[in-house]
Amino acid sequence: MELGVFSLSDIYPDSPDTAASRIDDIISYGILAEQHGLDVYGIGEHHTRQFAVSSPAVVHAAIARATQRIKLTTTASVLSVLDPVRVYQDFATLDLVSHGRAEIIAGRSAFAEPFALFGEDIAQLDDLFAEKLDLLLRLREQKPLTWEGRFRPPLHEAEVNPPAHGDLPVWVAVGGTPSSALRAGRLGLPMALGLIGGTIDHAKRLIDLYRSAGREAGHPAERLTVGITSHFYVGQSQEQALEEFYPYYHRYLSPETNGGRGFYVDRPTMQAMASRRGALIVGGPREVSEKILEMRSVLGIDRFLGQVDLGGMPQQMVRDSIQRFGDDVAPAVRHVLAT
Amino acid sequence: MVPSRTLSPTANLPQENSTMNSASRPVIGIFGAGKSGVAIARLALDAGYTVHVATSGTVEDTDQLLRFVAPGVIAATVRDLLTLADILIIAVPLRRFRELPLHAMAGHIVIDVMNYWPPIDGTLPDFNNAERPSSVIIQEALPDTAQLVKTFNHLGYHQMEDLPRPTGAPDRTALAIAGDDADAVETVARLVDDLGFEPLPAGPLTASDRLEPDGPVFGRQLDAMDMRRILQTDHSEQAA
Ligand SMILES: NC(=O)c1ccc[n+]([C@@H]2O[C@H](COP(=O)([O-])OP(=O)(O)OC[C@H]3O[C@@H](n4cnc5c(N)ncnc54)[C@H](OP(=O)(O)O)[C@@H]3O)[C@@H](O)[C@H]2O)c1
Repeated sequence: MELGVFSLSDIYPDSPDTAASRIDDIISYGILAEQHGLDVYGIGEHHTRQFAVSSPAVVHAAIARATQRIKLTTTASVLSVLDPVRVYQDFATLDLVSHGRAEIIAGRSAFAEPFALFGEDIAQLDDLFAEKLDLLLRLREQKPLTWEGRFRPPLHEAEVNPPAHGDLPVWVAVGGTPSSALRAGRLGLPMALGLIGGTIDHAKRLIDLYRSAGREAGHPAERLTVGITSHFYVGQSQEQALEEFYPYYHRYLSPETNGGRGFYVDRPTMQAMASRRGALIVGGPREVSEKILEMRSVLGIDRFLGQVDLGGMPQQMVRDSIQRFGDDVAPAVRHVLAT
Repeated sequence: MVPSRTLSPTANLPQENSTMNSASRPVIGIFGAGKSGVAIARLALDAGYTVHVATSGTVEDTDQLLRFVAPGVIAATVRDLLTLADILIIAVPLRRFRELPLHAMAGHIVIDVMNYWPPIDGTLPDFNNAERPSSVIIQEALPDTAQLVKTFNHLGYHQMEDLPRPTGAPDRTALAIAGDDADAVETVARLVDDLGFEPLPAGPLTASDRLEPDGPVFGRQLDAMDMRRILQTDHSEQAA
């Protein structure tokens, strides 16, 4: 089972953080994650000034040259608005820079702004995503490509450069919408399921749907890979973790940091979310290990990625969380899974 | 091909011998098998209602999906919902609601679960009017005899799943219900009550902006007393 962390690169408004300081931090977290034995590091893509990173491949390139082993993924790429040819080129290049560690998690976009920025019509979101995903997958085949769609000029025997190091993995990001899980399964693509709010039971229904749709479409079980992403903090103990995490979580979810679409989480609600079957992975090393193992046994997941810095968490707090995850949680999880 | 237990509409009409009051209960038809549509479908099914759901995809695909996320809920075509259901629930993204057979909704109670939320929906020219709540614009797109009622929109789908409590429970969450037709609001209030929430009539559709994303109750877990107080305060402030 793969364990990792990711950053969405949010910049907390009332902090001294800038895009420059956040990018420094985010690069350092990726390197630290590898040093503490984690398997995957993800960076999000956002297109407003509330976030530091609009181009994750560029930031990953810096991490790639300071690491040897960790996989470099996106959480997620806003494929609905991008040109798949360019996305392919950026990540095939990152794959060469990182010697085969690049990966794309393709998302539809949780925000409206990128559509205006790139001149796409959000009313066509579903069709845009389907078409662009199709082209991206075809480009991975690395043969001269002839292709035609509605949203981009056709390609005739196009040779798209560079060839990736090996297979460039493409995952599909799924929120809570069942039809997205169904489609990911039918395509036989790995699914990155966001467990934001809700319970493990809700995730289970979507994962069962995904696997069944994939099997029915003829994809072998081992290709139907599932990753879970969740808000995350490993503290010294359960109690301390909740105490320390709460103020940052509260402001991270609030409408001020979410372009008007957040809410105010109170302490009891957060505590309920962090309970055994809740979506929030916050606790001491022991609770976090138990919860990941429970997700593994109930959901059969192959990967867990924790959103490790949010709401302006201080750098040292993030570093401690990564260190505890890598040094305490990961060995415990791997030990149980190996026996 | 998906083996379908539930594709024949006639096989799924409420059974004569089912629970006592189910015969008198309205049949529910939901457009949309997404986050909100499925959450409401599951609640209605648990409460003993017959529930049909349609998407823009094939009935086979909808059925395959429902078998996992809401087993017991019946897949239907968009068209069939109109004849199968007494209460229609619109739970599709707002940007797609004009694809629905709006004119054929005459004579139905129609529940609007949708929100206009520019950070997510983008700017939709039809709805980009601060003076006019989205439900008023939707009501205008429906025939006169369709009664539009807005509710469920102000709770997240996880909240819908986690918060239902039986009638009289002290920690029951309230759902505001806005609509112009008193009978329709009352019918929807009974549904809301059956589904585990405290129904709170909240005035006509012209006042439904108070249920919208920028309004005072959106996303909040409130009991009926607090919600009534907040809606009244907010209203008098606006009137003042
Ligand atoms: N998510 C929530 O927690 C929540 C809570 C309250 C209210 N709301 C509101 O409810 C609305 C829906 O949101 P959601 O999150 O449930 O959306 P969602 O998860 O994206 O699901 C939308 C559903 O609508 C279906 N659909 C789209 N076009 C359709 C058409 N023409 N005919 C029939 N079905 C169609 C989709 O299936 P196909 O694409 O396969 O047709 C999908 O099943 C939004 O306005 C939202 O603001 C959401």
